[in-house]
Amino acid sequence: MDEKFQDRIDNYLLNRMDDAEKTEFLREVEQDENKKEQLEFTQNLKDCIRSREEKLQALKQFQLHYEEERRTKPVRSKKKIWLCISGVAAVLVVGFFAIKPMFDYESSPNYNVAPMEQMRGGDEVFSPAPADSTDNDTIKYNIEKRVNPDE
Amino acid sequence: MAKTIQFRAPIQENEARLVAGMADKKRSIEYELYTYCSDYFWDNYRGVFFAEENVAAEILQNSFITFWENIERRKIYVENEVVMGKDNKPLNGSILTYFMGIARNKYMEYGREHPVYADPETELGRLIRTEGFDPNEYIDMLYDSGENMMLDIIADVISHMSQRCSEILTKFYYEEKKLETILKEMPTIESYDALKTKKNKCMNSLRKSAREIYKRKLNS
Repeated sequence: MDEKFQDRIDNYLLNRMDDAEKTEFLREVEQDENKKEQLEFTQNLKDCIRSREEKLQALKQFQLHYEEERRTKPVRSKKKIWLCISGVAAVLVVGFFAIKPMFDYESSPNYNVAPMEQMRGGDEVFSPAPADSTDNDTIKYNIEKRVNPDE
Repeated sequence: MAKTIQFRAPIQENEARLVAGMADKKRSIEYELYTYCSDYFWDNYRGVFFAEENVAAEILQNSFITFWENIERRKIYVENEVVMGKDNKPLNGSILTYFMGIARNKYMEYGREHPVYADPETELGRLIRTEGFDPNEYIDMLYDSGENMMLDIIADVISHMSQRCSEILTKFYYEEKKLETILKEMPTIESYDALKTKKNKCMNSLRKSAREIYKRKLNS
């Protein structure tokens, strides 16, 4: 990098040249590709530094405001909201299964046990016995015989 | 003539409003977009990379500045109330996805400069540690290929310069202070000549980095 020429670039970009110096400077730049590139780089650098600094200053204010808002009014993130909803749902489900047997108990005929058909799980759980199985049962016959001594 | 009716969700309408407001330099919208991105970043950054909170805060800050500059340079903009992106096509997905893409690239750059933060548990961290960070592979993601490419590269390079260089160049080019004044404000620098040498070294270093990246981009 041509350091002496850099001083002139800086003077040009920071408006520290009079009109005659500016004209002479720009004429020189037009004739030399390296000097032109050096000027463009410095101009871009100056623009980028200005843009970044302005944004950094704005961000400082944003960050202060953002942190203050979070402190005074805690923002509930989506994750936290879902966590709360799923927590409430879990309590309701557990509560439902915990309370359900109490209602089953109250619905039994003698208030001591749950209805037999509910304890067994209903008719669909156990298949009915074949219709003719007890009619031809010899044990049944023997029992009936013992019950009726006159025969 | 058939007319295409484009349906947009309320979230897309809101994002278009934020991007348009940002382009119009409305300070209240700038803050709204900052909170929108920050909330999402803090809720989700661990799904993209692992970093300590102070590192994550630095990545958030640099990512938001880049995002902001991309809106200013119309890399993303609003047309007919739709957010548009590369090649003048509607942006794929939410602006938050776009923003997290920038954050991901910033983390990769950070991991290259500070390998200790490249967490081997993550895919990104493993790549940085085992295969190194090859900027050539990521140039397309980091910089635009248009006329403003050099501006993009310089904007990125200055975000990585040393604290000392940043201080000197900011005072000189942004605050427009003379070297004599800067010398008084920086008592650790011994003389005017030493300050001038440091300033030129910073400029040389930035220029060298920017030119290398630019050449790689042109050859890629």
